[in-house]
Amino acid sequence: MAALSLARRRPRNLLGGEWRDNPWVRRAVVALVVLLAFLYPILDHSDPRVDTAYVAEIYILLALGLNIVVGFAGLLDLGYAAFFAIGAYTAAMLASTHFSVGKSTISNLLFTIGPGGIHLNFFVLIPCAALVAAFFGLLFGAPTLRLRGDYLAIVTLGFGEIVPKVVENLGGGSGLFLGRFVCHGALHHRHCANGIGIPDLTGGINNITGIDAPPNVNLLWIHWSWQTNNPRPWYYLGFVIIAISVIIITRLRDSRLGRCWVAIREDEVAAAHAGVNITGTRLTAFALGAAFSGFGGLLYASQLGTVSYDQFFFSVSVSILVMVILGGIGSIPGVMVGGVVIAYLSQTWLDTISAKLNTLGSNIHHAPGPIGAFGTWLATAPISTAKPLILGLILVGMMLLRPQGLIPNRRRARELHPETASEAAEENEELWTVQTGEI
Amino acid sequence: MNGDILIAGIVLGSLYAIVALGYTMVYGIIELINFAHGDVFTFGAFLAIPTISGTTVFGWHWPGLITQTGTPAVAQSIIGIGVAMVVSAIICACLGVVIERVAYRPLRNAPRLAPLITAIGVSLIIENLLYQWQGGYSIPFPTTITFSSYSLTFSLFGHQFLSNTSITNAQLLVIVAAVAMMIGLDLFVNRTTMGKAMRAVAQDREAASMMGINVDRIISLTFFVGSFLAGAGSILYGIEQVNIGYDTGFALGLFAFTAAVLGGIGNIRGAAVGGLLIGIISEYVDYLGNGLGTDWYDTVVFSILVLILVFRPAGLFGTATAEKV
Amino acid sequence: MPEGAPLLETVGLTRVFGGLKAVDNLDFTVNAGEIVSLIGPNGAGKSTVFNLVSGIYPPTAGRVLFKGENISGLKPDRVERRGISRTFQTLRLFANMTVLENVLVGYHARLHSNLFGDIIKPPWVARAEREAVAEAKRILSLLSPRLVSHQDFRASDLAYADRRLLELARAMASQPALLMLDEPTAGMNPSEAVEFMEHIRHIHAQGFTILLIEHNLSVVMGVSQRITVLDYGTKIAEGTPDEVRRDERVIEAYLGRKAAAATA
Repeated sequence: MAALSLARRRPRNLLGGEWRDNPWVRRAVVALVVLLAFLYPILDHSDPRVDTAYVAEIYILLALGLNIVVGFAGLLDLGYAAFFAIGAYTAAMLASTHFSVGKSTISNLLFTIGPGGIHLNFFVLIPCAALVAAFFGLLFGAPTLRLRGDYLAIVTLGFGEIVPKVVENLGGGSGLFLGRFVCHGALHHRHCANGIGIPDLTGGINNITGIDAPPNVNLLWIHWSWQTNNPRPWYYLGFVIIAISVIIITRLRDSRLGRCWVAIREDEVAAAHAGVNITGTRLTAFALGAAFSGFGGLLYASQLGTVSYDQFFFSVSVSILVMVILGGIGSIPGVMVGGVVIAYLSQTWLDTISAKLNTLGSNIHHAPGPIGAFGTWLATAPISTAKPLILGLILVGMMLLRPQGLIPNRRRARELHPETASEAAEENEELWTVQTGEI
Repeated sequence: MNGDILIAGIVLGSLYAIVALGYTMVYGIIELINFAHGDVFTFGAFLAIPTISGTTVFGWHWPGLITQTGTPAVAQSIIGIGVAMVVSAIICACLGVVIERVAYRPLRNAPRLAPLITAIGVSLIIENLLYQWQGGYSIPFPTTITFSSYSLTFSLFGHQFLSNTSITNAQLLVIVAAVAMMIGLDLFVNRTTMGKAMRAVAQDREAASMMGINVDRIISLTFFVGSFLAGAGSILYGIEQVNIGYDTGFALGLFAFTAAVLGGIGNIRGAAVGGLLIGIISEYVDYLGNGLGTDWYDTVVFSILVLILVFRPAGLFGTATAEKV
Repeated sequence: MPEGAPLLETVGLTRVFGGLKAVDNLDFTVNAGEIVSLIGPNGAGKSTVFNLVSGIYPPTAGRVLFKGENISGLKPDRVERRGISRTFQTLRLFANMTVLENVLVGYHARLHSNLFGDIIKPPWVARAEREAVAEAKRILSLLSPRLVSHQDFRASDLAYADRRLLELARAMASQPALLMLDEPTAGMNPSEAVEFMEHIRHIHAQGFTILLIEHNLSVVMGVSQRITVLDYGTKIAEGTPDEVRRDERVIEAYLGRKAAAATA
């Protein structure tokens, strides 16, 4: 009798009994979060704090994009900041006073081109930035197609290093590319005293300034003009873009394409033999991942009004990776939380903690012996420069202690804990032998 | 052909080769790019500062080996350099083993992404600690040697090769020491029992463990040896290149890894050859770019890496391994 | 495809690895509707033949013709889309995906959706997904009720024999014109192997053409219509099970010369 009841035990499956699985609970939580996020700038009157929230939104977009590459497709991209840069520079080049073109101005609904620069309509710019970034996603993804794991990571790291370098040198100032041969100014060549002139494409070390903001909004009760110092319109723009992005990405995850990504992660040979076009699927992951970074770059450049090549180094790629790992690799809500945490960590928490610890240190440094010595050190401890240290500790800590992240994606959680697999298999073996009467 | 550039390339290449050995051995045995290796190297160089110039730690004063003012005598140099190399080598070796034990071993059965991410984390941690220790700018390595240069001229069949080429004693030291280390490693790996065990584990971990080899210990040994060489090599780097910063190891590590891939990952002799090639190429690109080198030889070296990995991932001396279906 | 032409045909198929000729000038055929077995001692080159057909590596010489067309050297996903599915000797499942999801991936080639369809999910895409799920369940039920009841199980949680069945289901999902099974009963005990062979017979009756590599000779003799025997990469015998069983060269290849002499 015990044997029979064992056999009738509910089979272990992917849908556990967790509260997360109750669709109504899920919907309620999502609705609550969306509502709070929507109301936040209205409730919080502090401009700098809302501005930090806007930065968090940019980070969320970046994390969502990297999550497609690393989390869904399993491709460790260490040069992801390159796409962020590309999105930002696309905005900078196509919607600013940087490129002075021709003598007269052509103006229509989609764009304005003239001596005052190229100014794409902002709503045209949004998909443009995404498309340009996606194109580069394909470009950088293509050489990595036959690479695995570590090698792919290194190559993407390489691209991540090359892009800021190239940006730095394809432009004005002491652009090191052709040194003194770079000419400043217009899109068409100007004859230079020293011979070769290349157009000042990216502004080089002079940066590109005067980037457009979206058009003013005058709709019902909403009157928005977009200044750098009023973060609220920007926040809502980001909010809308994130909402759309999350819907798209969730659909992707649950689609046939999403299944292909998981299959490739599991067993590439078997996936190929099931008809999955490995090349296309991987490239799609790169392109899509890059596209969302393009959105992030656009929001960043547009609000700041300027871009500079030194904002996109490897440390930025690492930060985005930390967001994904901390939040939960492959998990959409997870990486969003990761983005928020790292944003606040970088912008405010680090400084606050640093100040508090410094004060603590100076308070206790009068104490005798080792406590005093510790206090002396603590009073001037450079906590705010310790951000890479903290990021590194997060990476190591998460991988060792909770690799599935804060809000895990359940499929990934299972992949990362093979022990639970063998437990379940043993349990099921038990089930099987009992049913057939074998011992 | 400009002889000075060639010499500089060989010297830089020797340094790359030493670091590349660590990468190639670790990758050969656990298929992991040890991102932290370059930072362990930098740590070794930083360690030389208190070792050579003296320091006060918790009230205990270590006077150092070489006074930093004036020009050291040859005997002083020898002792100073020798001791610094040994100290850095041993401490770096221990650090390497600790890193493996704490950050990589627990993840040995995890999916491949995991230890790689941890390696990046460790690299960040070490770099920031070095940053906190010595600041954000490059610092000069302590004085260890009185520089003097010798002129080299080859004469072969009546042709003058490399005229107007000079080599400094530091450069000579680096080349000789690097060659000695590489020969030593080669002998160790190919002639000793432990070396044989390392090769066995690199080829087939399971089979090796069934033959009674303690795989964990061999892997630790690999990290020990690789980091030992890096520690010793870092002193040589400091002597010859003089400037070292908290982030030197990162870039150097990537170049060294490229060298390892070029030579054939997992292949020790290949790493040596790869290192030399990358060193010479770097110096030439630097020269062609009129001393604006750092920017462009980054790009050139990365391009080499990408090209190798796409077209000939086995490198010069490696064997292409295909997955058995 | 011309009338009476074989479904699969290899012409002078050769594959060399380094110095080793794994497959040497092999000519063999499979006709539509047959169950053909490929047997031979270990190292005879059987899996290599499969790998050449399924596109893992190209032949060094010779051709593979499928439905009259040359598919030599095509990549596995292209080969699959032409209508050849296979299972693997080492069992390659998507371990952390559910049973149902594994089969759905096999169905992949029959789903035609592009990126926009995946994102916007128009009604026809949703419907196609539903049909795919229904079809996947149908295939599972064709094979085993246990697979159906375990459809939300993680694949790696299944018992071994069920995992083999699942791999078979995944291969069947694309309705291939040719189903290649590489030692599907490896690692099974005799009763499991017999049960598996029943499944093979069952799906053959449903209309699948099957090319089978097997070591379990009793099972092979029981289920095959034709057998091709390989040794050292070449064909040494071919025919019905009875013919092959008595063939001297086959006995010699498996058991050595003395045994061949003994049975003569």
